Amino acid sequence: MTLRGLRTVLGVLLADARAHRLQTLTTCVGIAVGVAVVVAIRTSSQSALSHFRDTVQTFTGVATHELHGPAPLPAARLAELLEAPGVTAAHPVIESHLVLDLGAEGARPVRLVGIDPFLSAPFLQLDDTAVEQASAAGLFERLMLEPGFVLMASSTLADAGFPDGGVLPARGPTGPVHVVAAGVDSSSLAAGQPPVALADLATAQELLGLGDRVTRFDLLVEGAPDAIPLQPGERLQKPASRGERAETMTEAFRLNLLCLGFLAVLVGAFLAFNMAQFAVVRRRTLLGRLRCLGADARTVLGAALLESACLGFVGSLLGLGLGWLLAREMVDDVARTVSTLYGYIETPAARLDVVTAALALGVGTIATVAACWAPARSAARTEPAVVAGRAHAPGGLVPPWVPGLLLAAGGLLLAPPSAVVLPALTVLVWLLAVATALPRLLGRVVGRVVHRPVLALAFGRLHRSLSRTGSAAGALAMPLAMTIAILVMVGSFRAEVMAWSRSIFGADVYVKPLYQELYADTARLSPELLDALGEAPEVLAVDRLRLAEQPRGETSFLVAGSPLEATRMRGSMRVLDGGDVPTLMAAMDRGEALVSEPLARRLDVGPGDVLRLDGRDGARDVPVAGVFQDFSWDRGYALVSEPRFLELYGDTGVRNAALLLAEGADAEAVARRLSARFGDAEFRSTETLRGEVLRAFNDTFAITYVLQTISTALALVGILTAVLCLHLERRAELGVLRALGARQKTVGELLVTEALVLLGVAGAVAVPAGLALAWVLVSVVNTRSFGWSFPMLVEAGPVAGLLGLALLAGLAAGCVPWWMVRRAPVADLLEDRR
Amino acid sequence: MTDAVVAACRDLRRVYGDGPTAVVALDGVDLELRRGEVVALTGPSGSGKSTLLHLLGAMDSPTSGSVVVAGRDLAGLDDEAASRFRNEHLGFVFQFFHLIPSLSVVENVALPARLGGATPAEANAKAAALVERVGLGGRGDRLPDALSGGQQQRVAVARALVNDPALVLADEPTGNLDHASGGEVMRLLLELAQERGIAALVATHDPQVRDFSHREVVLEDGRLATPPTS
Ligand SMILES: Nc1ncnc2c1ncn2[C@@H]1O[C@H](COP(=O)(O)OP(=O)(O)O)[C@@H](O)[C@H]1O
Ligand SMILES: [Mg+2]
Repeated sequence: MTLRGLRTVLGVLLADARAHRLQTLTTCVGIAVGVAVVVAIRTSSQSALSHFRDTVQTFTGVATHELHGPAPLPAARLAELLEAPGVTAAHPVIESHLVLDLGAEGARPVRLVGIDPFLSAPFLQLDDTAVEQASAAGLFERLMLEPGFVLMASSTLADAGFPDGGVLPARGPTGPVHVVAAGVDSSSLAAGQPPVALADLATAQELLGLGDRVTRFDLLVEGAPDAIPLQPGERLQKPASRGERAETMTEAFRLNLLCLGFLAVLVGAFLAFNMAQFAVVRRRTLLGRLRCLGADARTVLGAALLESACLGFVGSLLGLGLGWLLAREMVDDVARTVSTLYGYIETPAARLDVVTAALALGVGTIATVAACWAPARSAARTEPAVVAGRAHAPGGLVPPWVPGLLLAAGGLLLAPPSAVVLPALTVLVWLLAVATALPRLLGRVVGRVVHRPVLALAFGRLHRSLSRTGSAAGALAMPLAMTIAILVMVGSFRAEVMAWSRSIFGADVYVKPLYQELYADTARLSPELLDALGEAPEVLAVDRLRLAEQPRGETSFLVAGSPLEATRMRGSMRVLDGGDVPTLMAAMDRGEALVSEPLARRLDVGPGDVLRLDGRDGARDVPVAGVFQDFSWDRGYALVSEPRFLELYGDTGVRNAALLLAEGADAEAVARRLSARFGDAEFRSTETLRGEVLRAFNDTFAITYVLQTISTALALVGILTAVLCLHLERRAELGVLRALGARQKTVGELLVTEALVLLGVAGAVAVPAGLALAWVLVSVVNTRSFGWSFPMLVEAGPVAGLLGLALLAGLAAGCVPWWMVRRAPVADLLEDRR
Repeated sequence: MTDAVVAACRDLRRVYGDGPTAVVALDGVDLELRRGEVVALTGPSGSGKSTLLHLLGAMDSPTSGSVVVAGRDLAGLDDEAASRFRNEHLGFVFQFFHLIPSLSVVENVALPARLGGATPAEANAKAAALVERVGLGGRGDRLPDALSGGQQQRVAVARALVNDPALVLADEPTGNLDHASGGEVMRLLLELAQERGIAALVATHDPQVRDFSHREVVLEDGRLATPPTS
C-alpha cells in the first residue's frame, strides 16, 4: 500500500460517490440527522442551563454561602461577619414578596429583592445593558434616595399594565404601601417566578416592615466556613438550593437527553452502514477493475475507510448546521422545561460552543467509519477477476447467536442495582440486537412460498440478499422501536402524574401563610386562624400539616405530621406497599410511619423496617407501616400521625393546612370567601392547584415532545432511505419486468408491496422491542435516577398513530422510487442508466 | 407489407440529447423482418444495435420514422398499451440472462404469462412444456443460480417464447457464454423460430451467430450497410 495508491483509489471512489449523488446524500443525511440531534440537545440544554445558572446567580449572587436565621437577621451582623476568618466579602439581602394591587383585576405578587448597591457590587450581576440604561437615566440614584422606588423589567411592567414610573398601591406584611416602579430592559429581572422588583435595602426594609433586619447574608468564603460565628437557629448553606437543583437537573437532563442523542447517532450510523453495504454492491465492477489495475486489498480498504470518513465528516457538518437550527427551535422548549422544574427563565439565545461542534464532528465521523468497517472490508475482498454481471450482496448473515449474546449482554448491564448509565447502554445494545436479528426473521417471512405474482416477486426480491434487505429492515426497526419506547415512557409518566395529582389533592382548599419566605422557618398558620377555619360553616375538617427536617448523613429528609382527614375520609392516597388505606391509617394511629417512595428507596426501608428519627428527646425507632407514592418532594418524606409528631418534635406550629368541605360546596367560592376574611393566609382551591401541577408537568414534558418528534422524523428518514436504497440496487430488474410486459402500475404495486412487507416485519419486531426498551426506561433508568416508580402504561392511541405514520412513510418509500422510475424509458432501466 | 412481414421500420431516426452533444444513434434505418426468420444484426460497438432493438421492442420512441410490429404502429402506444403489447407480441433475451433469481426456472418462464393475466395453473403448464422443450426437463424447480450460464440463457429463451410472440429481440445473447453454450442457445432460437413462425433479431458481435441465422444486417454509425431485404 502506497500513499499515492491510496490517494488515487480514494479519488476514484470519491468521483464515484459524486456520480451517485442521491445515494451519497442519503448516507450523509442519516449521519446528519443523528448528529443534529446531539448538537440540538447539547446546545439547547446547555444554553438554557447556563442561562438558568446566570439567572440564579444574579440573585443568589456569586456567593459561596448564605447565612439564614430562624427569623430575619439584624443588619448589624454584617460587621461581625466581615471580621470572621475566611470571609472575603459579605452583603445583606432581603428577599420576599410584595403583592401589587391591580384593583378590579386582583393582585399580582412580585419577588422583592433588597440589596445594598455598594456592598453588592461583587455579587450582583445585573445585565450590562440594564446597568447602562439605569445609570444613564439616573435610576440608581433614585433607587437609593427615593422612598418606595423599585426597578422592574420593562416587560413585566408592560405585561401587568403598570405605567413605567407610576405609583402603585401594594400590600406588604404590615399593610398597604406604595411603590414607584421604573422599568429597565433586563432579562434577569424578568426571570424568576414571580418576577423581581429590585430595591435598595432600606426601601425593602420599609416596604416589608423589617426595621433594620434582613432575610439573609450572602458570603464569599475562602476555605471551610467553620470559623463563622453562628447564633442558635442560624444555619449556613450553599447558595439557594436552586443552584444545587440546577446541578441535579444538569445531571438528569444530560443523561436522558444525551442518551437519546447517541441513540440517534447509532440509528444514523446504521443507516450509513446500510448505504455503505449498498455502495459495495454497486461498485463491484469498479472495485474489481481497480484491483485488476494493481490496487491491493489494503489500499482499497484504506481508501474505502477514508471515503467513509469524508462522508461522515460532511454528514456531521450538515448535522451541525441542522442541529443548530433545531436548537434554536428547541431552546424554547428546554427553557420551558427548565423553568417548570427549576424556576422561571427567559428563552436564551442558542449558542453553539466549540466542544459541542468538535464532539459532533468527531462522533459523527467515527460512527460512520465504524459503521462502514464491515462493508469496506468486503469491498477490499473483491476479486480482481470480477466482471460486470449479477452482483451479490457481500457478507452473509450475522450468526444467530450474536443477537442472543447482545440481548444477554444488555440484560447483564441491568444487573448492577444502582447504576444509571449502564441501563441506558442496555437500550443501545438491545437496539443492536434487534438490528442483527432482523435479517433472519425477515428471511423466515419472505422465504415462504406464495402464489400471487406481485407478492411472490416482492418476497423473492427481498429474500435474495437477506443481509441487505435485513439491514434495511433493521434501519427501519431501530428508530421505530426507539420512538415507541419514548412514547410509552412519556405516556406512562404523564398518566401517573395525572392520577397522582388526583390522589394527592384529596382535600378541597389549601391554606398557607402569606410571606412564608420572609420567615423561612417560622412562618406558621396561627392557632386562631386554624380554630376559626375549623368553625367555619363550610368546613368539615382541617388537615394540619406540621413539618420537621430530619438530617441524615450528608442530606436530610422531611417528617410530616398530619391527621390526614382527607385520606381517611376519601381514601386519597396511592399506596405502593403495606396494605390498603384503612390498614395504614390504623397503623399510623398506633404511632407507625409511612414513607414516600423516594425516601423508601433512598433509605432502603419498607413495611416491617424501622425508621430512626431524632426527636427532641433523642433518637426513636419508628416502625414503617407502608410506602406511598408521591412526586412532590424528590428527597422524600415520612408521614406520621399528628399526636406522634407532637410527641417526637413538640408543637413547632402548623406549616399549612388543607380543608375538607361539605358535600357540594364550591371550593373556588369558599377559597375566595376565606381569602377575603383572613388576610394573612393564602387560600387556593384544589382545582387551581391541580391545574398548576398539570400545567407544570405539561411544560416539563415540552422537551420530550420535541424529542419524540425528532425520533419519529428519524424513523421516517430510516424507512425512506432503507427502501430507497434497496430499490436503487435493483433498478435493472424493474427494467426486465417492464420489458416482459409489466405495466407501470404493476411495478408500483411491487415497490409498495416490498416496502410494506419490510415495514411489516420491522414493525412487528419494533413494537415488542420498543416496549422492552420502554420498560428499561420506565422501570430501571427512571426509578434509579429519580426514585419514582410507575407502572408502564401503553396508550394504544399514540403508538397506533406512530405506526400509522410509519405506514404512510412506508407507502411513500414505495411510491418515491416508483415515481423515480415512472418516467424512465424501459431501455434506460434495463441498462441501469440514470 | 405482406402477411409474412412481422416487423418493419421506415426511415427510423433516433437522436439522443440535443445541441452540440446530440448523438445520432440511428440515422434513417429501413428494415423488414418476416415470419420464421432469424436475422443477425452486427456492427461495431456504438453503431446503434441496442437502440434499434429498443425501438422495435416498444421500449423507446424514435425521433422520426415509423415502427410497425405485428401489424401495429408503435407510434401511438401509451405506456399501458406498450406494456400489454410487449407482453403479448414480443420476447426478449438479454446478454446477462436477467432471470429473477428468487423465482424457480418454471416460475421465471411463467412470469410473462402471469403478468399477462394467466392463472398460475395455465401459466405453469405452458412454462413447464417450454422448459422441457429447451432441454431442462428435470430442472424446473431449481433456482436460476443453480444453473450454468448456458442453461440460464435457455431458460431466458423459453421465457421469451411463453406468450407466443411474433418477434423475439435478443441483445448479445451469446455475449456472456462460452462458444459451445452460445452455439446451443442460437440453435435453439433458430429451431424454435422456424417451428413457431417467429421472427428473431439478434444483435451480436459473435461470428458464429451468422451460422444460425438466415441473413445478416450490418449497422455502421446508425445506418444499414446492406439493403433491408435480400
Ligand atoms: N440513453 C442514451 N443516451 C445517450 N446516448 C445513448 C443512449 N443510448 C445509446 N446512446 C448512444 O447511442 C449510440 C448507439 O448506442 P447503442 O445502440 O447502445 O449501440 P450498440 O448496441 O450497437 O453498441 C452510442 O453512441 C451510444 O453512446
Ligand atoms: Mg448494445
